[in-house]
Amino acid sequence: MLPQYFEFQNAVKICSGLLALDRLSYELRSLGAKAPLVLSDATLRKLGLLDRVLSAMSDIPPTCVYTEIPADSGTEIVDHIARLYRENECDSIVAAGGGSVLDTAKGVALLIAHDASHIKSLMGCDTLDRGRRVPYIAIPTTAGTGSEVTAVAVVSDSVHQVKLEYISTHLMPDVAILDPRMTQSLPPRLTASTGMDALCHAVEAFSSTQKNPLSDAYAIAAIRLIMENLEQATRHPNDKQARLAMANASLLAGSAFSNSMVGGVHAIGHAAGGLCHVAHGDAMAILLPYVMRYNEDCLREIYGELLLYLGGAELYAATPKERRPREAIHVIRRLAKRLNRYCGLPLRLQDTGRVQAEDLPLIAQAAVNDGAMIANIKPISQKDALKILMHAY
Amino acid sequence: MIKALICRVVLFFLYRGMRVLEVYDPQLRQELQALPQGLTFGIRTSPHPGSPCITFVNGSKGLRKGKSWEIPHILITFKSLSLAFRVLTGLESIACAYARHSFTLQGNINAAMGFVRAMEITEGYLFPAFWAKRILKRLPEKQIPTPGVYLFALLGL
Repeated sequence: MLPQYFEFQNAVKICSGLLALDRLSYELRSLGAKAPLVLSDATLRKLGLLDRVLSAMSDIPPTCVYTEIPADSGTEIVDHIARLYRENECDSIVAAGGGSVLDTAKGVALLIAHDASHIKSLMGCDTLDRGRRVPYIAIPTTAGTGSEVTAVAVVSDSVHQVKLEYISTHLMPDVAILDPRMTQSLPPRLTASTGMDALCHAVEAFSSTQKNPLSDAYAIAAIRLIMENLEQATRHPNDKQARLAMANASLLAGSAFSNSMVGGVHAIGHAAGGLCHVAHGDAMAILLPYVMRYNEDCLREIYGELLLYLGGAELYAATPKERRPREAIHVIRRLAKRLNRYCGLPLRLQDTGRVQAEDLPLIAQAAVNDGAMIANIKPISQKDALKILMHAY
Repeated sequence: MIKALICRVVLFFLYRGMRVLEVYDPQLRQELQALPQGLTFGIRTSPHPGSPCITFVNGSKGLRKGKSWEIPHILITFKSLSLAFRVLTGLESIACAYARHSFTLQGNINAAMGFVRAMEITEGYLFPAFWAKRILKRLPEKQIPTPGVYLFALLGL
């Protein structure tokens, strides 16, 4: 059904496929960049992926390269990098990495655009104007966050142990480069975990309060690509076709949820990440079926339809209408179990080794205050969140 | 003009109602107590100066009204008076307005969530049940009848 009102924006230029990275210099030039700041992390530097990015920038070499971004980047890192940007008189940003690197770059761009020093001073949703233009090119090296096209940045607040969400269409990068070579070295376990994150984005985008026909189209395309390629990319890391498909699926799912928001899975997952440092993709893989089960009575029609994209036409046709919503959840459970057998993707929170039973009430408390909770179609109280967590533990 | 007047009236009852319910409704009290003391939360019905607005202060002795010139820690600004009117008259919920990008939110989103829930509980009392059911995901278990909330709000108790 068409919502009474919706907004949809994806202004990011997407360069996807063969030798996409080799277009980096051209894209920088066309954005008017002369002194880029390159952001990445230590793992990518060790794997040689950063060198690949730098060699693609031979025409416009970086003024500064920063590779100390940790897995859950925080507000202090963002503030620090913004200082580096100014000290080195940079005029643009190239970020190569996973969600943490790309979101850190968004935070830096935001600080520069608004001549601010502390990212915490810019917290909010849709409040900021564009500010000064900071050309930003994102090169994802995982296929999950979709950060390369989203209007959302998540930055950790280490003091309060929460993940802060920044929402603004001005956070979107100018260009996203999807090159299968950049995700090929991703280990199977991370491929599975980030792929489940992308699936979660698509499923939540398809079932959130802000869903609309355009976000639905993106979510459906993402789910199809994920169901066809996630296992292949996990089992055969060098399969460029599967890698590229997953990179595109992640981008599509990112654009879908950026315009329709995520829900309870992300709210609880953010809390688990903020308090217990559960990897985001792992939290999503674990929580998705449990939150779907909780939402099932409110989303029967939507989950029933999801079965078509999750399980294919034959399974959909063979499943009686009243059993389709539950079967959709089972399809996701079965996928997670296969990934668990193959690469050890955790199926329960205790399998992550980071969550203790006594942490669950605190996670539930933090979860209800996460911004994503408002977009979950069924209300989730602290008590409900705790029940979900206990099931998932 | 009429919309602005109605918004002013609703904001008055929203604030007074919340103060009443802080005493009578344990769930609302719990929501407010979980928020940092001194946190200020503002609602502006449009970015236009002079449009109806209110600032709540989560004070040590309970909720109180903030000064209109102070910039609150969390500020919801509706993109237009008409959009605020829809929320304040119960034509759509705050969650629905969020989904429709009807307002901007300045400040910590996590801290805003508790206050939004407190607002929704208050709406559950202020609007008739058949009306509130349309917009709220879950109705509060009423600890005091709706006319009682209005009466105490009017008397400023």
